[in-house]
Amino acid sequence: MSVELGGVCPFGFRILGSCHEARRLVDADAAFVAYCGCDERADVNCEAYLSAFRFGDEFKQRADQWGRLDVKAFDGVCWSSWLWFDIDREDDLDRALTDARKLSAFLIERYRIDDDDLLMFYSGAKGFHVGASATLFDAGPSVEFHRTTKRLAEGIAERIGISIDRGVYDKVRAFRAPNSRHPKTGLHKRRLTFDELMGLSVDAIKRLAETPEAFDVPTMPPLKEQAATDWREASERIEREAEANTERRANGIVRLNRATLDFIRDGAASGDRHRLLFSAAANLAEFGCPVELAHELLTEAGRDAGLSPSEVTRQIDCGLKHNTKGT
Amino acid sequence: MSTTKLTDILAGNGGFFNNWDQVKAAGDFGPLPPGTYVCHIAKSELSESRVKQTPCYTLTFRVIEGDFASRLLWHEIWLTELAKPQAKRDFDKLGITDPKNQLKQSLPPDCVRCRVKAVIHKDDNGNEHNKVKSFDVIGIDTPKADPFSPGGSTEALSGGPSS
Repeated sequence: MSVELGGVCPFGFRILGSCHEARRLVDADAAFVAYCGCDERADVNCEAYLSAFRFGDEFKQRADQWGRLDVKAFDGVCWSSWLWFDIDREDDLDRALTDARKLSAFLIERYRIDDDDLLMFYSGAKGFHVGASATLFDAGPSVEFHRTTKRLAEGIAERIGISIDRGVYDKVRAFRAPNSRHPKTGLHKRRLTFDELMGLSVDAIKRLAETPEAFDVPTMPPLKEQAATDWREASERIEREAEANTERRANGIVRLNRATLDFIRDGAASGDRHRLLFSAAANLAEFGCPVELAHELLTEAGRDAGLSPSEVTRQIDCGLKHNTKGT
Repeated sequence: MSTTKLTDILAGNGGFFNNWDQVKAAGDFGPLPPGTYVCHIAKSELSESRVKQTPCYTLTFRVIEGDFASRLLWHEIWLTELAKPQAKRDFDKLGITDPKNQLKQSLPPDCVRCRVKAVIHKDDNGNEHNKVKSFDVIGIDTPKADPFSPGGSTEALSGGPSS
């Protein structure tokens, strides 16, 4: 835990069961440590999720008397002690493993950290999660923390030529809890040491994931200059883009992006579909597109890309709203 | 016509159909059989019907006992002039005597235990769905705080449905 960086964001949510169940307010650190340690209160034989990010008092105020949260449209300050990369490959776990290895090796080399400074997991289904400590990046809480994390992760993924799931950087995203059981495969989200990740086959990793295993959360490594520089650059890019968008709108320069047309025509792959749908909606909003028309234009492509009706509605609404906010 | 051969796609598993006669077919994930189920009210919320936007209070029941544990049933309490007597009947069962104020808050989840009578209705297209015919409150289970709720409380939450 990094009290200095994340002290103002102690709260998260937990979902016991599928993502349709209620989000309940939790002490983010306590819940994460308990799942890592297979604490009996965590009940790791059940499907469970923790929020990918953590939040402050304004989030807590969204809980009702039973601890259930209304997370819709929350846009306050957020933070995470771990910056996550999600590598999913439908029907090609070997490829996901190769990419997770590539990513982990890159992070260790670029930031000159030890093998055990990273948290690496087999997700229990179709991919791997790799986490790097926020302390490396000197990344503190902010309203844009999730966007900066996303931009940083995208930059790293592009640099080494892998694709990552960009949907996990939604501010109120649920992320499968460590050691919890995947309902479809019956396998657990299992922590892997660097040697296990690099040396074991997919079959061997799946065998490991048949049982959960307790582990201690690694101590937070100190700041690394290269990591802090990468974070700063990602943050500056976010700011520049926001300024450019504002300027573009102020000057009345509006274009229908190629990506918007491509999305309507061809949809998107699973790792990128949330982002592309969001962007397409935001682009349509630049034209003053009526809400109903945006939904008519984008819903079918979103559904074809495999998103649920509620996910499609949310991405479109958030995209439309994003642009009316002028960010 | 497909040119894919069964022997190709089952390569390495030629005995796949050997015990076919002994395999028990899985059931479809269809509606619950008509009957009476012990449930918790998992969720209660004000909403509107999809087509005509008729206001209602929707109860989501989660089966907690028997073979169908964890399956869900839904019941709409319609908030219209015509359905007022039925709404009053259902709200009385839930201890909601002052709906104007009490409906501002939802019921505590997984706390109100009910006996729910469910039937199957079929529409003109032959699609089947469950309908809650009636329900009775048979007990109140104390809701537990999340073990990781801020403050670390594992005690039962205070409060409960008005009854």
